[in-house]
Amino acid sequence: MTAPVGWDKGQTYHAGLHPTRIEKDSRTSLELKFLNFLDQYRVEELFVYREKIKRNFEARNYYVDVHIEHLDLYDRQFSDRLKETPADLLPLFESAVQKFARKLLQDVEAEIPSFQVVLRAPQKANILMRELNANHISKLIRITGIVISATNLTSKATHVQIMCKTCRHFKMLPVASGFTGVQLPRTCDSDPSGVGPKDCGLDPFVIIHDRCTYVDQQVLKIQESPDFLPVGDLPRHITVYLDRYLTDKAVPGRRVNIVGIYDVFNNNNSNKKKNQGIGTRIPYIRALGLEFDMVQDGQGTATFTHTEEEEIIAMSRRPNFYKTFMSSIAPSIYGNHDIKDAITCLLFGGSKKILADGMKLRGDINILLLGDPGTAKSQFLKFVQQVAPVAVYTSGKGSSAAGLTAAVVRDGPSREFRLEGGAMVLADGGVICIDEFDKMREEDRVAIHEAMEQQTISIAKAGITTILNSRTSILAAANPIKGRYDDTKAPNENIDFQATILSRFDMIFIVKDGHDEMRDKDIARHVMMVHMNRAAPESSAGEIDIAKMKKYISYARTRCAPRISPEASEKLSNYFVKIRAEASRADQNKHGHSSIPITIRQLEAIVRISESIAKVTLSPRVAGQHVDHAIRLFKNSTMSALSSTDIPGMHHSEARRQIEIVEEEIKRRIAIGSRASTQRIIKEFERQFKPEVVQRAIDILARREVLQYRNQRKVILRIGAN
Amino acid sequence: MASTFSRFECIEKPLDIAKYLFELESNSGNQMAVDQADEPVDIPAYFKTIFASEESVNQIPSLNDVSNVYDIPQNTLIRFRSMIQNTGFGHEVFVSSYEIINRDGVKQRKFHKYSDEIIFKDENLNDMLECINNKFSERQLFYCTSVPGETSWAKQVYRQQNRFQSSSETDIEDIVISTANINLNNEKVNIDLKEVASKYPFPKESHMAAIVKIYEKDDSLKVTDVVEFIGVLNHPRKEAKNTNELQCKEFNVSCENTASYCIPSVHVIFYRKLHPTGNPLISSTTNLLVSPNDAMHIRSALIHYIASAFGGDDLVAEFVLLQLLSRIHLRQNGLTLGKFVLNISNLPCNNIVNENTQSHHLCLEHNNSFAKRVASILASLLPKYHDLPLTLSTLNEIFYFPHSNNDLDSGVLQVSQGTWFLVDETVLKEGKLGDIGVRNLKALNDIMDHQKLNYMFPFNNYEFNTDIGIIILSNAKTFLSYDCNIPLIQKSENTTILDVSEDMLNQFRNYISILRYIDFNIPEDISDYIQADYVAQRQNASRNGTPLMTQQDLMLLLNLSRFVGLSFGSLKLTKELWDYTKKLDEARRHRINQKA
Repeated sequence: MTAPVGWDKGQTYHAGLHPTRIEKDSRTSLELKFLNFLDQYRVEELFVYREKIKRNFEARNYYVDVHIEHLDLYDRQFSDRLKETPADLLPLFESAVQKFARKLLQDVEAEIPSFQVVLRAPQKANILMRELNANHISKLIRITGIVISATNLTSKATHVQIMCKTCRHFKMLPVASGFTGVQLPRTCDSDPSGVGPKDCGLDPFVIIHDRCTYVDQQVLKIQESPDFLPVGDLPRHITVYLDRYLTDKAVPGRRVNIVGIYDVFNNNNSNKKKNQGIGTRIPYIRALGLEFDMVQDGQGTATFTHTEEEEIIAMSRRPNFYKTFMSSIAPSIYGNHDIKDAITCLLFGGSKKILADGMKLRGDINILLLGDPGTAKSQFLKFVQQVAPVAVYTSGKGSSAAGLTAAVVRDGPSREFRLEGGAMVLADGGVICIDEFDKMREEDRVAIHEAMEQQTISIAKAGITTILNSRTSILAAANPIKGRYDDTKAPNENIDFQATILSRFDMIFIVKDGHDEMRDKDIARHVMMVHMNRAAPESSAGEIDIAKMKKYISYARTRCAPRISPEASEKLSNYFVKIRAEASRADQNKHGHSSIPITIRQLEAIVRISESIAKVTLSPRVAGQHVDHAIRLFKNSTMSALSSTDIPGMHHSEARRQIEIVEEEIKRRIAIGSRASTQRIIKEFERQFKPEVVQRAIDILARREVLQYRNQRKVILRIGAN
Repeated sequence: MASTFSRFECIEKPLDIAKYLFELESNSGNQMAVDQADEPVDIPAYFKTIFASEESVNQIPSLNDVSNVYDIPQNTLIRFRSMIQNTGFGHEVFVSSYEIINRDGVKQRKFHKYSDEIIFKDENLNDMLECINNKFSERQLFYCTSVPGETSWAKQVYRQQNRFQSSSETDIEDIVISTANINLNNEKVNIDLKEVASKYPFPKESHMAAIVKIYEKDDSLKVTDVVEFIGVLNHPRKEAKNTNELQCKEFNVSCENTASYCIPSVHVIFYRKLHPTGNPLISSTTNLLVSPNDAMHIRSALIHYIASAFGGDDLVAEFVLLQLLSRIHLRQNGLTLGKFVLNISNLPCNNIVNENTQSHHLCLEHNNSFAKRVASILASLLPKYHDLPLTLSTLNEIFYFPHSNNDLDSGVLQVSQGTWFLVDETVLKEGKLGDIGVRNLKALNDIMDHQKLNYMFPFNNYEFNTDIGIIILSNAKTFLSYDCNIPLIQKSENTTILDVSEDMLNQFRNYISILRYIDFNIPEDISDYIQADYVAQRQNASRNGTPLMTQQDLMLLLNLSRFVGLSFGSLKLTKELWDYTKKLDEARRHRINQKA
């Protein structure tokens, strides 16, 4: 229970119906009001402000932070008054704190210094920077923004000691806080003998600097935060003035909430130019409180207003929301439901887990699209680039590992080194889309292994060693070997990637462009509909526009981390056991043609996919149906892509026997370190064995790292014994 | 009351009139009205009625047509045709009215709007100290520059419409003094001028800039909009630098430094958004249709005209014409329809006219004689056009995208919609791209991919939609992203551009501007026809083992057919137009295959 107490004091309180009639406007009565608040306000059994002042005094932090909400509860009218005229009331508040501290700390010998009152206001009091107007001047406001620059600390006098040059008369002048300066009196008004002012001449005063009192001050420039920016508008800036305990806290780049007084200063303080300039004032904020937004995870942390949050939750409860969302993915592309499904998962991502031993399991989902040219792979990538809250698009052709990961760069004129994040570091907390993944050089592809699994990038170069975060999902697109998918070959013969990198993709899709009259018709109709600006029939379910999707995704990513329900975990383990068994049976039968072994990695992938599916509807638990969905998706992608096909016209066991013979023969013929042309080997075996068999044998050896392909598979190199 | 002032008076002393209107009302004893409404009379409405006709607006002197701001006296009513460069200044608080008590103790409410300074003309200085009961209000500040890329014929037409003649008859291509032709490398150049120059998209080009102050709350004005502001001119403050600078240094951050620019400010009374074509020949009274008959006639003449820059290659010329008719007509879920970046490859090898590139290397001006010819054709047809030679030095040194450290500086691509660029890739050489270069290329590719431009702010980027026409010239296929590639086959070595009468050019200009904005439809039956056609083509291709026609090819054809239809003055797609488009595209593909 939070309510003002203090009945035991035996004082009477006015209800304040006629505030003008009752004499409570005097400074002392206002100060008393603050005193009472500090003394009596309590949250449950705790007198918060008594405790705070005591604790801060002991720690030599001479400030106290006051929640406006507390003051609201204590006396609404009074706190409204503070909000209306903060500049008048705050000095009283501060002196009340000092008096209260003296009372509270009676046993302390030392002098009680003055305390700074730091205000905190609730989120709902926020005002948008662009809504500040002349009506807000000198009122208490709260705004949110990003600090874009901060000055060094400077000192500002609070009291100035001045001396008359002629009669050595001393005088103390108070200086108002903020950007206001002080105006020295033009004539000396000392009157020691009581005979009236004497003539000390015009402008006799000089400032005695070492007898003035100073406080720290700092000036920040803050920029409107992007979430509140209307579409098509540029962000605005405002200057913020901080002093004492608020200084030196904010660094550029942080999101801050500032409670303060909206004030104006006269930019044109050259007095010589009379008749001019009194017309305009420059607004700034005199900060009375400073709070940081929650800890940021990666980039792109967004805050959501209350209405936005409601809208998002309402959206998530719409029937069939998953389907609606899925069909809003790249609506210009017809069909490809599984890929759209998978991209939905990728956008939301699973939950990141940190194990007890500090091991981190990634939550990000990586997808590889492999397929014929002209099958709209790039469109998917470009769509994701637009809809993901943080995304970087790059082409594997021409991007080196350094460009993707990070590099140390020497700065031009200053010759200083600096770390430059590559695409993967820049996409931290988001998605990186790599087109033409197959065109990347092998060693560069290997370099992003670390990024894919560990989610970090290590740099050791030019004396700098560091680890940068790259918590990114990867969406890669690649063409099959020789440009087109060859149906007569096994999938792994069409994919030119090492098993190590393939296993890091949670889902692999093979997109084939075949002629199919029905499908062609549908595609044509779909394209026509888009061009005629009519809703395509399949997406009539109500599409979500990109801006909304973006918002929804960032909400789900920051606020939702589904946990696996027992039912789901049961299903997962059953499935895993089943496919392991299938895989080992297949291994026995076919000598392991699967390009990637089914390991714990694949189980993790399915877990991630199920989590992300649950996340789409903001569900807190991963239910059985989510797992079913994920398993179906996994089967349709990775499993179907990698399951091997048989060599035509040959029985399993026969093929297996023959392959083994060829393997042994190849090992016998090529010594370690020597090379041979792939074509020649196939030719040499031609009489006894089918070319498919020989090719497969070479593939198997290459996967076991006995052989290594060179020159686009034209040449093989023996690198291992077995 | 409304007819007490002549148009001439309104131009000469708008402030007096506004004050008169205000004080008439507020001091007439109607105290209630004054207290309630900030402004008892609707001054913009009054001015709007005075300047209702096009003719009357043309009598207002235009900032665009003077070479020196000081040619127009302070506090004159002026026009400024400009692009909004920055809306991020927020607002400025000012005293909208104040009360003075004169010696007799009589209170008088004084009006103070549309001006940066209070001038106490008749009142005694002592009265000034008695300013009480100030009413504060705020006004929005925009940074505006003259429309980037406006071609000389467009400027000429605007100038001819202008009824006001500047007192000094200087050549307009001369420079406005305050924003002089600035050599950014010159150390001596005033910092202020550098600042002004950095806010115009094209470096080292003369232009006019002003701080525009808008009194009514209005969210409809966006960055890169082209607007004609009508308001009261305030000359730049010559001495304004000193104090502000001091303060800035003191705090190390500039505290709102709009006042420190040495550029004029315009206190807007009302404004008009200009027709998005930017073509001055088109006004609200122009007939916005081109009959198919006229279209056919103009079309062939125009192709012939364009072809003269391409060595008589009619096919390339036709594609260029189609490109000029492209416009983003739909943005939906990440799809930008109507985007058509044309790449003309197979250009003859570089012959640079001007070998002393050293002095010119930072200028965005074509050096390649071929590009120069094409540019002159484009500039004669389009109201907004600019060269964009892609050399390493320009890529590395000139910002293409707007960026902000403190204030928003402009970049080459911050132009209003409907501006064209001719990108010349033939001048590019192998070499190293720096940080800016990489970002510039990304910005250029973003425009070509999505027609979006990122404004770089500290810690955040903001994306804005654009509609910029781009034609790329290259030797081989360009490395930038494009929608359509066509190799050039020159028929003659003739390098002279066809001489066309001004009247004909005007027909061309209107043809392009009008047709570009016409709505185009695809009827249901044609849609069915196209679908059947697509299926049949794929069937044939799969039977013959030739490459299949993809979804993308279909999209490109549909885009092309729209432009083809428009070029013939048709409002909807027909079978004939579709077949014509296909033939056109086949001819293009044939060339590509020939090359390969």
